[in-house]
Amino acid sequence: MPPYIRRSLICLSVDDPKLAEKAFESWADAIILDIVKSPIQDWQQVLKAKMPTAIAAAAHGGAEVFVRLNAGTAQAELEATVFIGLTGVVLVGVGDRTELVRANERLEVLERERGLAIGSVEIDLEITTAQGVWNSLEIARASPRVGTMTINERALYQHLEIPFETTLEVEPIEFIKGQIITVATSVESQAQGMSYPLCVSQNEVDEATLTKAVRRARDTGFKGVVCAHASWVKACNEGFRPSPAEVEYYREVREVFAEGLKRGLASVPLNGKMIDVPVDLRAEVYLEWADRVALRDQQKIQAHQL
Amino acid sequence: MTHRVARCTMFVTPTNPRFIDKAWTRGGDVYILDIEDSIPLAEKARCRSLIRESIQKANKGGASIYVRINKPFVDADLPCSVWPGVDRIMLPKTETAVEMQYAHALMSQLEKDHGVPVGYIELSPMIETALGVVNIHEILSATPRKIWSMGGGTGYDMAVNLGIEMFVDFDQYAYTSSYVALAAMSLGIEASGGVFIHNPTGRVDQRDHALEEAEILHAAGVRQITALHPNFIEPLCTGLAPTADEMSWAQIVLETYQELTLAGESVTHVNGKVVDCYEYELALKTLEWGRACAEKDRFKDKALARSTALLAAAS
Amino acid sequence: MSQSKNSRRSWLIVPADHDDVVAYAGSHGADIVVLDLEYTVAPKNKDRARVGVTGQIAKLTATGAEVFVRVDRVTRWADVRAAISRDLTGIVLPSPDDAADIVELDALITTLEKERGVELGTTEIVLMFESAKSFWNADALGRASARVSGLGVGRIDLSMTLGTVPQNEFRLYRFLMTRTLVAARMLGKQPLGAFWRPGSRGGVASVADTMRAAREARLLGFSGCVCAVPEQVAPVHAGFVQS
Repeated sequence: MPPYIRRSLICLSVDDPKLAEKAFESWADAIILDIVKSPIQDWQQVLKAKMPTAIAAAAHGGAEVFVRLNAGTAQAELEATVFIGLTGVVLVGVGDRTELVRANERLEVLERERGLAIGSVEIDLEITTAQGVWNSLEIARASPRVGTMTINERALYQHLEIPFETTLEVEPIEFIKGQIITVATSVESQAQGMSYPLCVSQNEVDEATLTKAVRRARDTGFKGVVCAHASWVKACNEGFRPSPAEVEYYREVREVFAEGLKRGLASVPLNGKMIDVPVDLRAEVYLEWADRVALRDQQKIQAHQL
Repeated sequence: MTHRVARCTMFVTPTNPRFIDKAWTRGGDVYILDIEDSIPLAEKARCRSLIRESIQKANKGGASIYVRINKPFVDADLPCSVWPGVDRIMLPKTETAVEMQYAHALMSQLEKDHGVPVGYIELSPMIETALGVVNIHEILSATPRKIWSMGGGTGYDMAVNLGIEMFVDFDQYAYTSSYVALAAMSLGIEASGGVFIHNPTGRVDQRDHALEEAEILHAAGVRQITALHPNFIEPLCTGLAPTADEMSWAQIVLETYQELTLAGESVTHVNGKVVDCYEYELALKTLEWGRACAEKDRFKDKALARSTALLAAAS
Repeated sequence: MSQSKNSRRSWLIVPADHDDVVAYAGSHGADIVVLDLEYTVAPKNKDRARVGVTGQIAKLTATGAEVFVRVDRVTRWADVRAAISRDLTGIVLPSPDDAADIVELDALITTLEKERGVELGTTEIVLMFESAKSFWNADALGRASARVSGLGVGRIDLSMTLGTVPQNEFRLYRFLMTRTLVAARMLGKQPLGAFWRPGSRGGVASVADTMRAAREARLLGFSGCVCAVPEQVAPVHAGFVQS
């Protein structure tokens, strides 16, 4: 049901000398490469030369690889960064659909030139402005490439002039998160983010707190998060998926419902709840999701054995 | 009636004689004859054949009758459902204006063919997916058929669509239900969204929960909800109507406001409470709603007495 | 403009027909004095209030106050006609439902600015959203005129008969605040509003509740709100203090 298994994403710099190591050790589902545009030299040429190696290094350990670009200067940045091995580009701060349409066109050209399958490079959106929120639906609909929508909570706080305090018990951007999750789901994409207050404080916290925070993020509708710390990755990989207990429950649901159907019943009780068509459907969907997660984990294990 | 009173709606399975034959005795404002999720695929054809006669079975106690059809079987379901006695067709998982327009056109033709005033039956979209939420405005404005009230943006199917577990301790539908409610209200449609009632056990049969729910909805100004169990019907019908105190206060406000108007004033206090233009508007709505509820209750009482007597006479 | 925007914390409503109240209106320390031709003026005094408003604006600005006039939506043309002057900073428009209304008002204001020697385009409009329609159309309304400098959450517990929910909030309130905030920041307008809770009818609240409402609004990204009475000015300032 979530189109992508991307529970944990971490950002690493293209210039990081330990890029391959960090990517390998992270066990993240995805690596997002941050670029540096050197002011002195011709940054485009410099970046072009680095990117293929950086992409390969980031893929070390089985992660999908993305590059993080500024929506406003995307045309030039795409030119310098799109190469084979890249799953997608993250456009930061998209405010309206025309930016997406232009990025889409440029990507088509680059795919053709550089031997990538046409339409294969995703565009992922990082929401950092009020415009990005308000126009999120038309932006998400502007291209079939749209993959995931990430809420950059701190950037949004800044743009909305929300103070970086976490004393309010209700989350200031609760409804914004709901909006992005709903929009992403409506275009068969998915949303990434963390729950409050960890999304603002972005601390390293103890395992119990982190597990709870990830659970909350998942229950809100997020399918993963760009981890503020590498230490978040494990909890995200374990949290943004149906838990073993849930998998067992859903298997039981399917069994019990199938049996009921054989006896001609449209709904069957299980632990005080009624299991009917919608509940069985949900069980089916979740079990399929669990299978895909298991497959992804297997892929990463194999990548680590190479 | 100028106001469609639907404090408490309840789904009924037409294929189950135990439910359909007894439903009218339960006191609901509305029974929803279901052809959708409570009916397995293999039973749907038989269910369709039972809808027409089920209308007269279920409305014996004065309830209004709705029909919940299947999104993929609109063509098969509507001809069996558009009959005199049906007030509303519920269209599950509505996602686009086109779906509404298609159903509306077919309904209009069937109304003509089956002797229902054209346009009478309400076409009520059920918002159960994210796509339905984001398209809500176009959905609600899609046809000239009047939509009286809207809920939605929550529920099982929405949870599957969003990929979330239900029955947690916070409102997972805060955005979806609020956005749907706002769209509805902006189009003059009564909205029941934006109220989170915590139900950690997910159980649907506890009467205490019903009383609590009725109180919460009343305070929130929401006048309609679906009961998942007959135990909920009476507390909801009572709880969602104005109380006697609210009605008498509304009357006082009305009279006081008339005096204010004559004096060219706009605000005063009665028994420590404010009376102004806002209280006046609220009082008008309360009195209208109270009268509508009372009329519905009288109608239900008469229907119940009549049907009971007929039944006794027949046996 | 954008710097002064977020520093307008308190918008004090003052009934334009109460000369004695108006006389002291500048002494409460409010950032903005809003001379009211709407809710706080009884129908029998509306004509008199409208006639007298120009003089009142001048008196208040002479004391150093910055003045807006809240017009009554149903008589907005006459109210605007009375209000526009060199001393007036802007108009507060309650419950705009259609962008067309704002466009029309903008044109009327321009005509009056020309007639009265006011620098063209300087009279602001602050929109107070008070209906479902206005919240739905928030972006179109905000864009309808360059004069719009603020988008506010109005007395929606009353105007939209929002009930209360168990979380000690008005139904839909925070959702509507969020919508207003996003529209305001997108369009570069000041987001106005406070997180009023059940018990604060129309935003008339105790000092403690006022400070809480303002403080929480600040934590939600807002920078100012309406004060229904002078006693609310100080707690509003305390709540909107920039840390």
